[in-house]
Amino acid sequence: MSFSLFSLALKNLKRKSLRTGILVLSIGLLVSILVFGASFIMSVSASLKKSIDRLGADVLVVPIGARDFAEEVLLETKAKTFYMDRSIMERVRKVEGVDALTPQVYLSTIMGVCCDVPEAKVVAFNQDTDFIVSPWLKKSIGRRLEKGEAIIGWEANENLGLLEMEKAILFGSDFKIAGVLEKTDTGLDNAIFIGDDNLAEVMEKGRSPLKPDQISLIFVKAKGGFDPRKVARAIEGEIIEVDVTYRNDLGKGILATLKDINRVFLLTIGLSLLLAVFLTWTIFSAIVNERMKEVGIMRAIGAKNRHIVKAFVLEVLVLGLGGSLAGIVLGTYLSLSLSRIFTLLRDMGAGLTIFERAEIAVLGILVGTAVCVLGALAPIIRVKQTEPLNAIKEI
Amino acid sequence: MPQVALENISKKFRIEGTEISAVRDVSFSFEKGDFISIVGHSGSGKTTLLSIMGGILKPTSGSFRFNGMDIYGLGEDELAEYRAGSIGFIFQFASLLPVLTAKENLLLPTLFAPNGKPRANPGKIAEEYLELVGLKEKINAYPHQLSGGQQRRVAIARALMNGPEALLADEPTGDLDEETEAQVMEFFKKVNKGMGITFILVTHSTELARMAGRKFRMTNGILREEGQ
Repeated sequence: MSFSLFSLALKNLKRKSLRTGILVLSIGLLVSILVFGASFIMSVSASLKKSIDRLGADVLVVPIGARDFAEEVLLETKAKTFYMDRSIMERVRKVEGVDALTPQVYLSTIMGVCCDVPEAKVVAFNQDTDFIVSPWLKKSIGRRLEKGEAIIGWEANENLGLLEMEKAILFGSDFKIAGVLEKTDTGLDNAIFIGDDNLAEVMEKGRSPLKPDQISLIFVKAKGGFDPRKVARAIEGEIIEVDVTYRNDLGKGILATLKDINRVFLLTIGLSLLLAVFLTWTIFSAIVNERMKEVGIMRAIGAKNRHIVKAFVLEVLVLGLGGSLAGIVLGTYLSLSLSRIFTLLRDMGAGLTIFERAEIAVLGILVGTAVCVLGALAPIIRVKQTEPLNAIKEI
Repeated sequence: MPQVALENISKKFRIEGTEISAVRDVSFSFEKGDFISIVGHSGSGKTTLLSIMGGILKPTSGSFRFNGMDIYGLGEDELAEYRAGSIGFIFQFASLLPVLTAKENLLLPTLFAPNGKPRANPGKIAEEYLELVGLKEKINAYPHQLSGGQQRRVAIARALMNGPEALLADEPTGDLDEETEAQVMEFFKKVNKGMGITFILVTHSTELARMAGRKFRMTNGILREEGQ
């Protein structure tokens, strides 16, 4: 490499490798907190948004008091059971603005009691009216489920490995495994799906709490030109035994929690940023004091202000980039390895795409580098403004 | 037109409320290729005067012209270009950058060459100059691996890197033994005669000062040419 201000910057950084290492480590830790926190927040909110977007219904009708349970089933990985009378469907159908509706029934498996699979949620859906699961079913196996067949959600297969079993006992009945449903990025990825024509046999075997003519939830599509929120309000006004949720209001509880986490995260990052800026300022003030005479010599042999600034800025950029890259690696590793210990991440089965991770990495580089530049700015300006002879005399 | 012309140059410092005149109303000029010595005791103002000529210390009053150009009328960048291209400065202290090898120390001023255009093949020139000062085998040595005399010779070679018209040397042999001092002075003569570079030597040694074509003495900030 030919000699340049960049090679001078690198040599100056190597000069006190421990000090350089401490600064890189500090920036790295700051960026790793940023990357980890941003990954956490983005994973949860992206998962929530995908879940809501892909649900395919405008309004959800659930038994009164079961709104939170429904969210847990649809948005998270939890298995919950709640039931209401099937006759409510007819009353919902009559509400103005309702275009289509389809019911789902939720069951929960208990290994060794009813079933030969570990605890999982089982969703029974009506294949004639369904508009929630059917599009994914068509993509996955290209046909309807036969009676006595089950299809496994993508995540459930990853966790339970049911595809290898070919057959599973669910609520005392044998079910043939027809395949794995394509990834929907909703809580339904953690379910096992069966047609609701199997429910009579399930109830007959008596291995589930389900009673005849019970359903868990009704998905409603609003007619074109009708405001889904008004349709939701109309249903709730007319049927007092149900709770109704407009699609965009789903996950409000999670979002509220997320907002609080976000605040804590921003506060932590803010304080860490201040600390890192202060540390960089302290270290660069010491660096500038140490090299004042050298700067004076450089000025005396012809260096312009911009040469001096460039030499220091190059050092700052190398430190900032080095620290940022280390922080991105550490933060990404933490977010991947610790995702299972955070309930919210685990329950939502949240993950990020490569593109989203790249966005976070760019943010990490920008913040890490900006912190270094900000911290070093005042000492660099001071050295730039010192007269050459005063610098040589280290005044 | 003289190469260097100082007219009524004065420099005052304020130290703890007291005004001190380091240089008092100095006027003199000389031509390209001259070998000038300025002799004087410590604190006589000779380093201050050399710093003014080196473009690193603005005088309180008076004008300093180099090839007719008013140096302290220049902007920051032009003044830096004067320091980079027109003159070479040899300090009285060890002035090499400790993180750079001998060769890299020589290449440093080429990064600041006027108009961003250093002489062709600076690496080759650096090696030639190091050979010229007898340090060919120390090309990749760091300053801490060199003796005081060797460091001084590297600094002298560095001052030549951008092809200056004048060399300003402040006590260049201050901490050298007699033999090395003689070698360095011989080299200065070679630079002055062989390359036609103007030489301004500041020293407290009357013996060294005698080698110059024109000799000046500085006392309490006042400059007088000897033999006049």
